[in-house]
Amino acid sequence: MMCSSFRVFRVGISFVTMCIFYKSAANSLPELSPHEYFSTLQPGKASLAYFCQADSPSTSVFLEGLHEAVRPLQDYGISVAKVNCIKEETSRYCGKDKDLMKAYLFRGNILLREFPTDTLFDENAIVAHVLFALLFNEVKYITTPEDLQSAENALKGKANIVFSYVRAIGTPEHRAVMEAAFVYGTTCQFVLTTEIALLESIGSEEIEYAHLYFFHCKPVLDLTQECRRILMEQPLTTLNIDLFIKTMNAPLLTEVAEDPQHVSTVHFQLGLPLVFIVSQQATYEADKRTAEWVAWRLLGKAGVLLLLRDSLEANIPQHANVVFKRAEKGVPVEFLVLHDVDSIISHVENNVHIEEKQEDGEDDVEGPDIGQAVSMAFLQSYIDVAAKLKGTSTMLLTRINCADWTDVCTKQNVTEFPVVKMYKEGENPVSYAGMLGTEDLLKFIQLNRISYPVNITSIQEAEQYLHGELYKDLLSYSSVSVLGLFSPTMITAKEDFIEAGRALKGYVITGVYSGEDVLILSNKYAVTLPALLLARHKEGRIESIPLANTHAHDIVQLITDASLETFPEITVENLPSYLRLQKPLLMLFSDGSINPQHEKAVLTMVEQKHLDSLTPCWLNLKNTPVGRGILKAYFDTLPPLPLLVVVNLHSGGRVFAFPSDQAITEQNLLSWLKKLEAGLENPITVLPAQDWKPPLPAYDFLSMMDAATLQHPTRKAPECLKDPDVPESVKEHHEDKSAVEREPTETLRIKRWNRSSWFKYAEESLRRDKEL
Amino acid sequence: MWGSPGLLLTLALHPALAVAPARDYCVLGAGPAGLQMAYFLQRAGRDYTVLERAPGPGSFFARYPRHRKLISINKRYTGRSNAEFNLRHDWNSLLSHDPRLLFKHYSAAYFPDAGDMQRYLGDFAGRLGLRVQYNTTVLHVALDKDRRAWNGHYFVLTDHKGRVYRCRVLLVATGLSVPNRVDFPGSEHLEGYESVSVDPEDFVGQNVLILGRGNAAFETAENILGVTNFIHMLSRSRVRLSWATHYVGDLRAINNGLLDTYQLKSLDGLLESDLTDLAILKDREGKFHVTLKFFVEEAGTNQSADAVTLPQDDSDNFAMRVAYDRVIRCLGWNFDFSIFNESLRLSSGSEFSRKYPLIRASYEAKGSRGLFVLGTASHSVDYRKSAGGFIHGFRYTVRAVHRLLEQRHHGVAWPATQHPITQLTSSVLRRVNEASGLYQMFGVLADVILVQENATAFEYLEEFPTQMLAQLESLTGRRARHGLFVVHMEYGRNFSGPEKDVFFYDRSVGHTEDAWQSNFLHPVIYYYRHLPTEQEVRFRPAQWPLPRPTAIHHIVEDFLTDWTAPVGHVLPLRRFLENCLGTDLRSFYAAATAICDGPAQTCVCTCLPLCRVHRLCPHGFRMNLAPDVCNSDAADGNKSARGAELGMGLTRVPPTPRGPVPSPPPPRLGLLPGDHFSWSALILEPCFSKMLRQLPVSGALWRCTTRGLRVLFPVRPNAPEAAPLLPAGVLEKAGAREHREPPAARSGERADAGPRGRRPAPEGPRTAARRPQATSRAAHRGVIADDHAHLEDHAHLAAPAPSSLQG
Repeated sequence: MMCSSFRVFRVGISFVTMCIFYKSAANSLPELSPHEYFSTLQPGKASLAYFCQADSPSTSVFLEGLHEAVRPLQDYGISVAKVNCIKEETSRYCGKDKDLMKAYLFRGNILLREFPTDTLFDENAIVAHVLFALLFNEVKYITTPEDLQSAENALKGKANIVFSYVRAIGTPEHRAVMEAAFVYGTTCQFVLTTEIALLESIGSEEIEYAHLYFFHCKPVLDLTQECRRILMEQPLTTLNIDLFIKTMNAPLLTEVAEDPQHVSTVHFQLGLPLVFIVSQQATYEADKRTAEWVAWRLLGKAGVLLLLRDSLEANIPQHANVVFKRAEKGVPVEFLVLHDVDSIISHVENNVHIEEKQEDGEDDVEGPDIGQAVSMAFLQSYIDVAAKLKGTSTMLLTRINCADWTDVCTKQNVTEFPVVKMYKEGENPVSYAGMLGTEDLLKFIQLNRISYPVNITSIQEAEQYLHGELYKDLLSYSSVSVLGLFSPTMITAKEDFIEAGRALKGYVITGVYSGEDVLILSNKYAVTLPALLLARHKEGRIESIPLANTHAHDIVQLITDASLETFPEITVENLPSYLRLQKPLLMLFSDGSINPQHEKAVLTMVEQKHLDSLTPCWLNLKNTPVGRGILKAYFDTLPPLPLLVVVNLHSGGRVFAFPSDQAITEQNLLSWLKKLEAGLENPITVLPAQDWKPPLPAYDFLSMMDAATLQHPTRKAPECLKDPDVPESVKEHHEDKSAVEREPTETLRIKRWNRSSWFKYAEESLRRDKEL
Repeated sequence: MWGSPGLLLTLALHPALAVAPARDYCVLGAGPAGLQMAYFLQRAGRDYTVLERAPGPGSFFARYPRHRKLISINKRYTGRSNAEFNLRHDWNSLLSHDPRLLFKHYSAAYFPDAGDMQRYLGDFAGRLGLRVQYNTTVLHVALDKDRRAWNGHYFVLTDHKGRVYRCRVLLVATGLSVPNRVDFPGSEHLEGYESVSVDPEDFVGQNVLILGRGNAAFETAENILGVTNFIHMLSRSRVRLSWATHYVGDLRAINNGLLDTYQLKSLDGLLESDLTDLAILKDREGKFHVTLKFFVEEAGTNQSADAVTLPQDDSDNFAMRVAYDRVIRCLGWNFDFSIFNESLRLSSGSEFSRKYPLIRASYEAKGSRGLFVLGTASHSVDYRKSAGGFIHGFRYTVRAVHRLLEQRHHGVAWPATQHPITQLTSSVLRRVNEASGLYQMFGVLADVILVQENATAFEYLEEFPTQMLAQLESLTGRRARHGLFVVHMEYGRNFSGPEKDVFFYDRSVGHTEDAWQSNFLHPVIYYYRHLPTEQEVRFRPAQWPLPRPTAIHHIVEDFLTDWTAPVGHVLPLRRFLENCLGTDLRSFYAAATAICDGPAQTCVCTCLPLCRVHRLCPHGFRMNLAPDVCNSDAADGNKSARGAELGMGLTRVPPTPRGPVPSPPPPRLGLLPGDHFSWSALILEPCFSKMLRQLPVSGALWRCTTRGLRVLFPVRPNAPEAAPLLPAGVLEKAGAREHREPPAARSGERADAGPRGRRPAPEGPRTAARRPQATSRAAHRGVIADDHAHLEDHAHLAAPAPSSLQG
């Protein structure tokens, strides 16, 4: 019990320190020189320091994360500092490469660990990593079921185990576990893994999420006996873990002799229901055994108490043997007559969980995936869609792993991954070609509920369609509804349109009308047949476009362009649609919603056709925070917003900024654009035309094999073994071969790692091979 | 009307010719190879016929193997549902689209009965409706020159009834049907494997001498081992054990009972001697004595055992001094050359001339164009190397021949799939993990990846005969102008061999950087910037299965032959492909989701500040983005033209020169610490965190949310995803140590590594000189273990008790 009193003490300390830091140094990241920093280090106290030379864009993100981590780390008594190497004397921690700076964790002035900044990618990662390093003894990292077994065996009869699986070190779940370990680390042994196989070995099936188990090893005295394993069913957050461990540590069975309505235990406080097993003197021993059995079964789900009827004055119905108290406060207790343990359990479980039902379906979406990252990421979106469609759709979503079912995928002509195909009875399968995200996929599936183009049968129906009354529930998925108008004789034109409608299936709602009375519509909307009517529901506007001799492909283009906005808010999803226009972007960066005056100014200019050579758009940094990164790339420091720039991505990569001292008015904008056109403005930056080169070199097995051959003089060394770094001299001094061969292999190897010379070397050897 | 005097002459020789219409394809023999070819011809809708001597298919199996047990394994369970993968372990099935025609449905025995094979072949021919003409013994094959014929001549076949068949292409799948005989004095006393009794009762209490050392010899011995006094086995060469040579034609473990009894001091024994030096004499009692030809020749023509000196007269401990009751010849089989006219030039003076017809690596006879040899008879291409002489090998080479024919005669290019370059890594991975043709015909067939212009796409060709690489363009009808990859499976160069100890202590390789020293079958990828020439193929360095490539990559051997480990297998492969192509093949996830909009921003981020859309952005962009926008070169080239259209005056400024190519990273090798996360690469590029990076391709995917990073779906439950996920400081240390060590230093160190199969216990701080060797075949797991062991060490040094945090 020494241990647990110590725990109380420790928790107390950490809360105190938390308060102190909360008041004094909330959120500020001290910037110190190396000397200052090392002089502040106190013995036994942990401190995380980031040594940096200058702020570069690549470190700014890390610093952002570090800022956020200051307070949580201080809660644990760990101070954080940024140490500027440039300001004063350098330190060996400063390193040389300014882009590859590291963070160091000290205790006192002893270096515990160094972290490349890329492992500390955000607040969670920082807190998780630092605590992981500090709580080394409390948290045992394991990789195999055998490790787990031996940990379990070692602790039987001594302590309980909190076993958790997180998908990665540095994730929010990992942080939550670490924070729990900080509090409970001395009373329970924490065991952590990132190995799925390990989790599988203890029987978990759904491994997409982090898992946490509590192993009751302390009560186990017989080493051959297993520790009871209780799975925490809530998501891994610090709070949930805390509550879970508390319930696990709570007494298994409590005896009470009070009115159940007024009883409250730690379980109840933690939001769990209570189960009272009603007992009387005569059956006390048997009831207690039953209650213990029930308690084990309900561990983590409910609190179990033994209610002694004899010493109770209250009002328990004669036959009731179980009292159930729901977790919700203020709900009267239930008196139950249950005849066996299983019915108690199932009563509790049925009243805690809502049962999930599966849908029957007529449609089928197939989402093959292969072991590839994009597929895997997309799978999450796919699962999200499945969850969203649950109960609302007759769609059956399935997934096929093409790594296992190659033949099936080949038959479906699936060669790229991931692919989503929709199968509908009586129709050809449709491949999804949109963005690999939940929203877009959902939109695609919803819009596919109707067939395309919709055959409109009467003028009334056409009007309903155009006014958004026909497919009300789908309007949110398609910004426009398109209606093709044809006279009954325009067969080819109609076919073209139908083809276009099919191509746009799942993206835009299209309909077709070719009744005898079609002229009524064409007259009403003042357009000659064949024609398109474009209903913009948001704006309540209907546009008409004549369609003479337009091919299906052009119709698709026409409709796609028509669904673009004139002054859109650029988001990640819609950027490509606007980039496709290949015009320079006139982009207004705004920190929040756009200023209506600015919007009006731009829209007026659009109307007056001043902006035809540009794509006017705006970006809301609140919705699209990556805009900040973009601005940092354009300007060295983040300029005040709003800010207007012209970015010419398609020619030259020049970026021009509208002078920040001018108001964004029609007048000013116009004259600025004129100056731009006249070449009188200087770009604020020119974006580099950077190619996507291999990020890192590969193993050069060829030279390793060559080096090995050189080392075995018995085998004839291939002629091509020349040093890549001296190709010229080799060419000139062919006889110098022996000298090269005498060069230590080690040197050769290292030289050949130089990627730039790799191919040169290979070519050289090839050429020489030909000569020989 | 008459084409030439030559034709007239031929017509005169073959009176029936005038009436015999020509067929496009004639297949000789309805054994496994003949039926396999018939299947492909039938599926392609070609004009063909199969001529078979017997009344049913697979007549070989009616008699052979004599003791009825096939030694080709019938593996019915692998735990996998991938049909292609399962063929890797199915040695008996032919290729077809019909899953009912898998041999596992025909026998439950691991070593099935030969009768089941015959039944299977009958079903194969029957169910697929293959056009086989049974009871047709072709007695003579000749050439009929004709300029208009596909190959400049017709093959003229005459059967036992005098019927004549004119064929444009002749596919010989007659197997090896002539027992190999060695001529020496007394060889007439020998019984042959083909006719010797299989009833052990006939051998009770006998002394038996068996000539030969193949599976037939051992199979015969196995059958009578329990009833004979002893069996001696005599042959020229040492016994070759298939588990040591990795060649299925060598002595299989199932047959080696006699090796046991010999080495366990029973009376049986093995002897080596050149058979042609021997003589066998029969004595008055009808027993056989072994002597030397020399003595017999000395004694003159009267060859009786009593008249000739026997070796034991000189040396009283001559090994074979006992008299034998029977001598059995089990010396293998030869191709039946007798029916082929000399003009076909099927045989020549090469070393295989006795046994095999002379063919090229394309299985076409060297002597006559249009004549292809299939099946067992085509084994000269990979004799004692791969599986081309056996069903599980030649079913693929037959398919290769069919593909060549389709291209040559019907203009159907070698089947290939087209993919964007972004699919390169996964295409290779898929094939090395499931392809059965590459696996069975290792060293002979290889996948070829033809890179398209600008490396934006590639064509994937499966199972091309590697030795024909120089002729790839003409044989496949595909163009290889922009470089190519060859995906190949190989054993370690010095691993297999009749006298090698394949169980030596450090036989497995676990570290990625040692992949080139892998001993067990593993994928090897060759990159050629230009298609090798015929000269380069022919005069390639010794021991190289292919000409020296521009670059080579070995995927480290895997105990489970499952090359999907993100760090150990996938990442190095991707790096290799990237460096060959000079491009970045990482995948970027560009979609936005409600819960996670971070990754979505990747592409925005890369598009806007960089002025370049990564080629992978189309994953998310593909609906909206024209391909040329993604292609940096195209975008660049049209720069000025577009600028002019825009009328923005920007074109007056000369196009900005490309920024200096960032200097290559310091020569750190292979996996770098941050590399596991790919974040270090990130820092070098002006894209920021808060975005997704792919971990080593299929490992796991980091997606960032505004709240933090999450990892999604590690792909393989048992793969070492944890490696990249361990604290990076640890990885860096381990990584740095590993990479800076030369292989030589390590191989020396191997001797004192801990016991194999056990992870070495942590033993205090390690230094670079004493890195623990990963110790199991699945040693890639060991890497992680080591890393963590190191973590422990580190912690012992410095980790504080938590109570000390507060100081």
